[in-house]
Amino acid sequence: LKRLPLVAWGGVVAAVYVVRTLSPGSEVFRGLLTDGVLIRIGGVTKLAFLVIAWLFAHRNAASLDRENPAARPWRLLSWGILAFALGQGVLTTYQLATGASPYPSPGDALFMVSYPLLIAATAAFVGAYRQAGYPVGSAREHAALGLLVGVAAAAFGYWLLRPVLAEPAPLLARVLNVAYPALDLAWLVPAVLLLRITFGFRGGRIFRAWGLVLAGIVAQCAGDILYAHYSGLGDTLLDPLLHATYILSYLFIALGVLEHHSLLH
Amino acid sequence: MEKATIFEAIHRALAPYVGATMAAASTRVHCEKLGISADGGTLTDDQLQALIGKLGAGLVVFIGREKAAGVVEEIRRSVGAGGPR
Repeated sequence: LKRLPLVAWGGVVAAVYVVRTLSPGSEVFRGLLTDGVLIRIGGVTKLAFLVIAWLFAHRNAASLDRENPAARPWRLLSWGILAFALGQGVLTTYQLATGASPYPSPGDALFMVSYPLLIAATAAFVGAYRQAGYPVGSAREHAALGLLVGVAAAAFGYWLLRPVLAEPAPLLARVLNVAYPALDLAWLVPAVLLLRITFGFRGGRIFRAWGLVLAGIVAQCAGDILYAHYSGLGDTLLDPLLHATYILSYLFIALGVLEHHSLLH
Repeated sequence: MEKATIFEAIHRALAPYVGATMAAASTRVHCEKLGISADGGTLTDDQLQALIGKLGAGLVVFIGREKAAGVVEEIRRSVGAGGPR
C-alpha cells in the first residue's frame, strides 16, 4: 500500500479542519464545506485509516512465528485497533446518515472495549522487546520509569478531570469525558516505556515505525484531553481542531503499522 | 578474523534496522556476555558464530525470522564466514 497518497489524504483533510478552526466564517465553510459535509469526510477518513491500521496489524501478527515474543503483542494490538475501527464504523454510520456526531453513541462501547487491549498490547511490546537481548534498559529501570510516569499521569488526570465530573452534563457523557482521558493517560505509561526502548534504535527503521505509532498515541491522548476539557465548558469552537487531531492520530498509527509491515516482509 | 572488520560488517548490516548507535551498543553488550574483549585482535570462528547468533536472535523479535535471517546471512557474506556447524 502506497503511503504517500495516505499522507496526502490525511494531511489535506486535517488541514481543512485546522483552517475551519482558525477561520470559521470563511465563505467556503458556509457553502461547499459545511459542518455536515466536513463531518462526513472526516468520519470516512478516520474509518479508512483505522481499517488500514487493523488490516496490517493483523498481517504483522500473522507473519510472526507463534513463539516470537512479539506475536502476542501484535495480536492484541490488532484486536484493539479492530474494536476501535468498529466503534468508528458505528459513529461514521451515524455521521453519514445525519451529518452530526452523536455523543455518547453505541460506538463508545466499542471504543471503551478497545482501550484495555491497546494498553495490554503496548505493555506486552515492552516485555517482548526487553527479552530480545538488546541494551534497552532493565526490568527494574522500566518499573521505576513506569511508576514515575504513572504517578505524574495520575496527578495530571486528577487535576484535569475533577472539574469535568462536576460539569452540568448528562451522567453518561460525564463518565465518558472522564474515562477517555483517564484511559489515555493509562495508555501513556507503557507508551513512554516503549518510547524509552525504541529511542535507542533512533536512526533505524524500527524507531521510525514505532515513532509513528507513538506519535499517533500522543495525538489521540491530546485530542481526548482537549475534548473532555472543552466539551464540558460547552465550547464547540475547537471541535474541528479535535477532528484534525484524531485524523492525524489514526494516520500516524496506520503509517507506523505499515512501516512495521514493510520491516517484516 | 580481525574484530574491527567483523564489527564493521555487523554495524553495516544492523544499522538500517536498529540505527548506528544500537548496532554498536548491541555488538558491545553481546561481546561482553560472550566474554569477548572489545579491544583489537581476532575472533575465532566459534566466537563469530555465537556473536552473530545472539544478534540475529534478538533481531527476530523486531523484524521476524526471515528478515533477520537475511541480515545474518549478509553479515556472514561480508566477513566470509559459513553457517554455524
